[in-house]
Amino acid sequence: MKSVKLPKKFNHTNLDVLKQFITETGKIIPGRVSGVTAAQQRKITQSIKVARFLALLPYTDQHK
Amino acid sequence: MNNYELTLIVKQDLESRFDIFKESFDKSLSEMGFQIAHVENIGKRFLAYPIQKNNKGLYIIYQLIGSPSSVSDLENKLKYDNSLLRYLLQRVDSHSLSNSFLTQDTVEANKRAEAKLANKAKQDALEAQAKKSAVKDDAADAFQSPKNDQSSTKDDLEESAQFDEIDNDEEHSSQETEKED
Repeated sequence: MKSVKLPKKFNHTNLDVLKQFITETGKIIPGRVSGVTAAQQRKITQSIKVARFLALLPYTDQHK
Repeated sequence: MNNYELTLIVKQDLESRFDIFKESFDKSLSEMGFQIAHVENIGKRFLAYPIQKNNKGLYIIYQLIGSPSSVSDLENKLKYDNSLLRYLLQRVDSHSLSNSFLTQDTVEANKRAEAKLANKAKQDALEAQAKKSAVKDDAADAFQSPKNDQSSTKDDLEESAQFDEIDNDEEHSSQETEKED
């Protein structure tokens, strides 16, 4: 498993952090694969979803 | 009093009138009773996916302090603002008073885009030069070069013909195996 860099504080604007936790197709990598703690995974998931809403991250690779 | 974070994506058409828009927006925020703790003007960014057929948007992040009762006023204003592509109003525990990663990212992206453009311009100039010199060379070699050109085209044709034969062979063999099955 590739090692991930996770700072103590981050939010939906830290795209370099969040991009480590999405696949090429834009899916969120599940906690059992990403290897971070459950609390961290919850925060990552929420942040990615907010970033998607603000068009900072894609929902999928099939956007027109 | 609560802390709020308001992110706006403004339509790209407003870029020329952006300062006016921002001033009037700041004004209406203070009229509604919000204190602006920090504003981060990120500027134009590519959207990760098109929103209402817009590929770019202008991002601003406001850090606000205000009472919960004025939030509904603000929501009402945002809802019917045609110049916004999207907005996000969040309650936060503490404000981030420094610029977010987005500003840095956008600056870098813009730099990359500029470098790309500059590179392209350079290449175009080089190509144009090369073409010019090529035209000159052609004029000079017009009496000598035609033989070479013909021989090269012949070679190309032969090669492609060989490839065609190989393809045909493969097809035949695959058909045969199918029959055997």
